[in-house]
Amino acid sequence: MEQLVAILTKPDNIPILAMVPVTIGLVFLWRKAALTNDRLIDEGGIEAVRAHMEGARPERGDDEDPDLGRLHTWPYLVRVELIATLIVLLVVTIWAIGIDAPLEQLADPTRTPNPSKAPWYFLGLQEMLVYFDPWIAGVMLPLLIIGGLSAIPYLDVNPNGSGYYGWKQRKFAIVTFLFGFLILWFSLILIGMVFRGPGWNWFWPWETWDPQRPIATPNQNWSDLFGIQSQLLAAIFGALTIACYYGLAVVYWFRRKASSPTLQRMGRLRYAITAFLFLTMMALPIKMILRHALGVKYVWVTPWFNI
Amino acid sequence: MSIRAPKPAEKTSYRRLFWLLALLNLLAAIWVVWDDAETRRPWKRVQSQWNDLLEAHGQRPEPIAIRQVMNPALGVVDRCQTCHLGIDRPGFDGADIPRVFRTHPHRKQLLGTRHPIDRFGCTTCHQGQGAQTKGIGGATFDHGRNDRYWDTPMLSTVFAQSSCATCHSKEHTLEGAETFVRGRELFVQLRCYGCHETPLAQVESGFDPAPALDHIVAKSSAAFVTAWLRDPSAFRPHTVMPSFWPKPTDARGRPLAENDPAYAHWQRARDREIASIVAFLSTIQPRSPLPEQPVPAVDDPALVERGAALFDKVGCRGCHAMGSGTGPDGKAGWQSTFGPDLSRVGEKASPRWLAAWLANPSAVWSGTRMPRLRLDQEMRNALVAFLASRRAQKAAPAGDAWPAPDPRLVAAGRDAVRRYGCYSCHSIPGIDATAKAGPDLTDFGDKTSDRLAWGDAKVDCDAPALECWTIAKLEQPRHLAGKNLALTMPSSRLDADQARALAVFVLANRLRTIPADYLPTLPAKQRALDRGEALLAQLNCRGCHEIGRTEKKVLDEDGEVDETIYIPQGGQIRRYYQQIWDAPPPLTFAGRKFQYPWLYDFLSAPGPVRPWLLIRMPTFRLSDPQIDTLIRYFAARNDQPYPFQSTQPPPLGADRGPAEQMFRSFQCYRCHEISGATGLQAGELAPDLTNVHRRLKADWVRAWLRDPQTLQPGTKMPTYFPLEDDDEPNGPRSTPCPDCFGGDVTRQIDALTGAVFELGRAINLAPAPASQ
Repeated sequence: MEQLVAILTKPDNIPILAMVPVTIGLVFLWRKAALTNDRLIDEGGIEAVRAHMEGARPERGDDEDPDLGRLHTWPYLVRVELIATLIVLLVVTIWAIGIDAPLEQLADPTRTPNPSKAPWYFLGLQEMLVYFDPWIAGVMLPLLIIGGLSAIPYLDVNPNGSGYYGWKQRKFAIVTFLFGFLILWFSLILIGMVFRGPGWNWFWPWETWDPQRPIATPNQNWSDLFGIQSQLLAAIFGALTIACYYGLAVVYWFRRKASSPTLQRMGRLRYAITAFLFLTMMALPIKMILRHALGVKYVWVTPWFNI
Repeated sequence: MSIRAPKPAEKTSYRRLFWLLALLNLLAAIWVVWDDAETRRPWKRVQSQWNDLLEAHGQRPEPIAIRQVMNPALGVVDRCQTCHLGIDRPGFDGADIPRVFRTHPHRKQLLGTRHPIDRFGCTTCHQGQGAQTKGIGGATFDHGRNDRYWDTPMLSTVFAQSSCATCHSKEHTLEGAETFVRGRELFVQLRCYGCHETPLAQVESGFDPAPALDHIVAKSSAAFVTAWLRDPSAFRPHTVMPSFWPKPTDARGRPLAENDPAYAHWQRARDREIASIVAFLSTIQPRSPLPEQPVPAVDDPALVERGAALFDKVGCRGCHAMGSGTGPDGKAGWQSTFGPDLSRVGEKASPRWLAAWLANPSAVWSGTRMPRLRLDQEMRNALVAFLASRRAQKAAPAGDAWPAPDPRLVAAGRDAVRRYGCYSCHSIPGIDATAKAGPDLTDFGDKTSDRLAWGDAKVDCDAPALECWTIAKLEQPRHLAGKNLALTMPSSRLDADQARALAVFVLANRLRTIPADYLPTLPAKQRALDRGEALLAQLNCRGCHEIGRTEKKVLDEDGEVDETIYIPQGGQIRRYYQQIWDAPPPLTFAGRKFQYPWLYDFLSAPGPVRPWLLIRMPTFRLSDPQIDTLIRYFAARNDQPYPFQSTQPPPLGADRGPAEQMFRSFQCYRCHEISGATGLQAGELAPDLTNVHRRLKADWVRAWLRDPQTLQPGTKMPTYFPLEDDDEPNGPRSTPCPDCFGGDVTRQIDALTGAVFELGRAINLAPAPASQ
């Protein structure tokens, strides 16, 4: 437990410790607003939400008013943002005086600290390096994350749920976000913070970080689980596995195209991009499970690259 | 509608919240400025206290300012003197002065011209955070010791000595770094260098750290080796052999109770490993056979008694302890700790092996430091019988049969020998010893705290982590083991002082680049003395010889010098001799006394100078550079020129007749043998004078004739020219022959010296007398 206390009281980890309750609190705020709006929509459609937003404003009650339920950015939004800015400024100032920057000694390339941990916002990326080779974990996946996030406005064809909180109208988008960011990304950061010790080995919080601990490196590939010896067959088997995985999206498309208006509205290209991004995101937790449960190092092994 | 409508955004006023936040931010900004303001700097408060102190001492106050020493050559940026203002000023060392302002306790010795503080700063020796003047957060400044990210926290006081070696690694004696020097000696004495490489250890070349095990089957018994491995100190309390199976401890380093299951487990594992090692040792095939020598009847009591007398007299006592160490005066006293204590050697070594060993140690083990004593057969027989009889009452004599080994056990034993690194000290046939068993210590002192493995140990210690770890490791090497960390370093059974001294030495191993103009240059004399002292210590010359002495004046009631007592350095072996002239000669004045060519010949192949003595100068296998080091040392010790110097007296010329007349009338030949000089009666009391012209320097002979007792207190040589007044050491001297040379003492001494030299030369030039 000493180890856990040491980790939790480290100044480096304050942002992580603050991030978790703040984000969960925000999710609860969202949930409250979303459930209210869902009920209003059930009772009177989107107009009911607008009327609700208009609230205790009896002088304006015209249902036909296009501004009903809407406000100007200036000054109503900007002034709230200004207040938020002042709060953040105050917190950061007090933080800066109260807690010294966790600076370490002059960097020395011949003497790296063990463990060498990335700053909190990169800890998730560093943890991803455990499961994928650097070119995937360090280059491809970050690019996909940035590109995918930027692409969302163009992929999103759902007209509902814009400008107000809700749940029923955007279940897929919300679940994907909550899983991908709140669960997956936070888990990666928390694992990197709490469970990774010297040599980036896994230590439970009640274990002392022991640099001498023998490391059991997982050293079998996906094909080894099936007893495939030949390098060529293993490469083909790995390629097939990955093809099957992404093939799930194709199967889903052909099975649900006829019955799902959403898929029809999206069209083939938007669907393909969305499905690719979604499956790529899900590949990370799948690989984590394969690694931790079965000790799988690579799914697809070729002489040129390994996935 | 049951849902309560929200308050419209434009109805909410943020005015008051805004002003509140604005005010708070303003206060925070003021706090930032104030927190970093000059007046909050702790050192300013310290400096005003210093000014108060100066005023109390009647001195003028000094300006408040940062005092910084910067020296890029040494990598020093030190602001230590910003607070430690009295460190380089005399007179601030009273107990009433606050610690921070006190004068450096070794200011005269270490600072000043040797390490001027404005060039060396403080961190060069003490480490710590030189540029820092305040603590982390609100904490008091602790010189980097409470900063977990600072790799070089300030060393504990005695550990500052470990920094000396950064520049002074070559020097053997190092004033002010006594703990470091002691640690270095221990490192060599305890054979730490067998397993650990370090450039700082001054290890003699040509000697093995421990005996080669070629002849272990002929030398010892399985029962002895088993008991010895279990606990070497039980057999020989001060042995160098460490314990490879030290008693197990708990996480806090306390010994486990014997009824603890872990204790029983340890005992079983120990006995299993030792049995396998003994089995392996029994299969050793020596690389060369044991040289066979006649083995005497060891049960002969007369032989044993003769051996006991010889042991005290031929020089064994110079290196070895034996029994209680009772001298002729019947009192127990000084015993040498240089070589093994031989009190129970009969349990360890067989008579057959002892006979071979005493005949010529290096023929049995080429890497031994034991010199050859050139003993004749009769003496060796007596010594073998005596040594073989040295065993505890019940113990079986060494040399009994070894049980037939089980091949599986032998293989396990070979593994154990490799694992424990036995081969690092003991040369073992069939085991490759290219790599030392322990980690290289070259940069041990640079280890950062995150590189220390504590295992499952709990160590309470306030000092910097590296010091704590090193001391804990040295005191109880297996204490720091853990579930995932098996340790094989043996325990040398160190006490706290030894462990600390060794830790100081081990921590001195740091990788530093020091500019050449900062490296010390010893004057030639100093270097000669330094290197000589190192060699004297290695060869244990002082085990037999007095080399150097300090004088202590005893004052009488009136404060006048009543008596001068000489405290000799070394030569304590003399307490085993009834008469001082039967003991090894003092070498304090060897540089003044001996001619260098003779000294070279003698050191490379010693022969008898006083053949009637039992004590003998052993044959060390010295190399030319070693002999050169010794001669340079003796010369430097007595401030003699080296290597060239006139040694002969001027020719006597017309004085020759009277001089020889005087030589006869003084009756020198009554005591001194003069070989081949017919007509003179030889005595067995004083050295042969035949070779004086080759052996001694004329200046020495003159000084010797003038006042032998000062040069060698207790000598039998009579003082022919006593002082007329004892209280005036430089006053006139009287002579037994007032008529010779007009009663001039100086001329008489010159004449006698010349006579001795010319006598020898004449004999040596004459054809050798036909042998009969």
